[in-house]
Amino acid sequence: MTMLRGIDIGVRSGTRALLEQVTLDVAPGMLLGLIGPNGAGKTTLLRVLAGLLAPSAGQVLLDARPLSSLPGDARGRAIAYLPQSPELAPGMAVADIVALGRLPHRSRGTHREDARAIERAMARTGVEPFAHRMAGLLSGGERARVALARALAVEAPILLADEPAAALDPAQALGVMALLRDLADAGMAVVIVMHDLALAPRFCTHLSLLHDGRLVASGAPSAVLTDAALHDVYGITARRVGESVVPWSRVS
Amino acid sequence: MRTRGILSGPTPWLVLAVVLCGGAALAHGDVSLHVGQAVADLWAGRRSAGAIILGELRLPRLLLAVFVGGTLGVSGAVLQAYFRNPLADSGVLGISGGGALGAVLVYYTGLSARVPLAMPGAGLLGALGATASLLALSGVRAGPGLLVLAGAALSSLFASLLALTLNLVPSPYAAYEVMHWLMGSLTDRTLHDVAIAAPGIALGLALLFASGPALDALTLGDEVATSMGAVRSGPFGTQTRIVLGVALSVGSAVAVTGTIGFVGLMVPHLLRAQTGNVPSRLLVPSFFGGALLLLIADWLTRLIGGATVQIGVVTALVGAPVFLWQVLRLRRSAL
Repeated sequence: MTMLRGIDIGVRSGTRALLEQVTLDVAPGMLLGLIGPNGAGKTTLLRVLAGLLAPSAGQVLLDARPLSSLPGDARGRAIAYLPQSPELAPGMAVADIVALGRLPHRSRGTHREDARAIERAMARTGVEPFAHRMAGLLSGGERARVALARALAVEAPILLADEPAAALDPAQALGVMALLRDLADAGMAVVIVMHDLALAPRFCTHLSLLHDGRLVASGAPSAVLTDAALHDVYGITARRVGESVVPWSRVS
Repeated sequence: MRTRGILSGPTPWLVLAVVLCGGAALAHGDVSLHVGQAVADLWAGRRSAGAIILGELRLPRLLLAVFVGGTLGVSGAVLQAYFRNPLADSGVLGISGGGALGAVLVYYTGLSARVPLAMPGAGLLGALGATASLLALSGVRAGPGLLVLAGAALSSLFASLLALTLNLVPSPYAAYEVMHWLMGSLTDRTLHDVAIAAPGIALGLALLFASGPALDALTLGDEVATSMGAVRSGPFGTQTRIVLGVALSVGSAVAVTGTIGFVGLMVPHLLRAQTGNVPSRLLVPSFFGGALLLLIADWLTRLIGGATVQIGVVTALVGAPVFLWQVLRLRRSAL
């Protein structure tokens, strides 16, 4: 049971507060969507949770141990991180890139375990048909799925992904969201930063709404995406199609 | 994945070519030699003509060609992967120049005659200082333009300081000696020189080979590499390991053979596509590729000029067109 917990996290850049007193829990089975307007601090929070950015206040605990006390490999095996614009070496083959996800296991895992994890990750993301193609020859959507496959090949109990569906066409975005939900249902803890209010409430089990570096609402999607929150935080009114929220007009 | 790369990549062919060229280099020369007999004499400690030619002329030359060429190839491959810049190489970035300046200063002051390890030590310190200055000037994550600019600035600084040293050398003969040394050469080196360079080269190469996983991870960007624990920051982190590895190996090599340019630039370029563009898989082939290139260049120097043409001149003559070819290739892909 791997639990990631951020307690009273604050991040300052000069005099500006990027995050203030943010507390949140990430548990297995959760697909937590971090939402909020541009500049709300979503990516900063994700980087703090990944251990890439040391918070200026508060701390992150992984199973009650401070994340900062963990050696790099151990943290890498526990938390897989997928940045917003993943870099892929254009000359490398897809299968070799996905295999890089096994680097945190290099001092312990066997070749067979590695090969199985790589196969599973490629099958789940559907990148097998172009496993031997060079990354430089892929479309944007294919690249995004390869980067996701690399993160899944880590087989970490926690996945932190920054807008994993942003560069994808609607069919592929739906596919990736469904995959992330499946992973959560299978017991993984998944945190994603996203902007798409139509997809977020449909697929996420939980939403956390950030505004100006503060956590203004957290919980079930329907409890977070209220008309009042959309009005106050995003400055919009919305229409609803099932659970989905469709931004409709700006509040003047 | 990594073992597959070593067994099925270009390595076996390169090793074969190095063995063949190395054997030929031992057997052929101004005096043709029965290698088997000479080796037996050398082994038994008999001072036959063959044993002397082999032990004091051809063997040191062969060993230096293999280890210095290998060092330049591996350091080029590591620097290109670490800076994610195809133009990075110890020569272009001024690291060899720093090493050469250190060694020449020691030679000039006469310290090298009195202290046996002064020359490689100074070459090492010079290379280390140059690498540290480069990182300080450009920052670790400098773009290709900034990095090459900082390297060019350092290279020309070291070149001018070397020229100044030459100006101040008291006798024309000493100036000629230093010039000759600077152009890079494998001739007139003894097994003693090989022994001087060996520890630094071995330790440096060990550090560089150990950085393979970090170089692979860096193809995914700094953040992902850090998130996987494959790249560590801090005083004993990845960067320190690479800087020390390059400075130790290139510094020791330069201190014994002088600066030999373009090997580090060319070899990784020529082999990269055969290794699937995976940085860690390029390291071993780059060692043997560098060794092979220096063996061939050394053979060419003997073929075209006897003792007068320096090996550094030959590698530069071969290397400059490769550099130009790269420029044209980049230009075509930009169109």
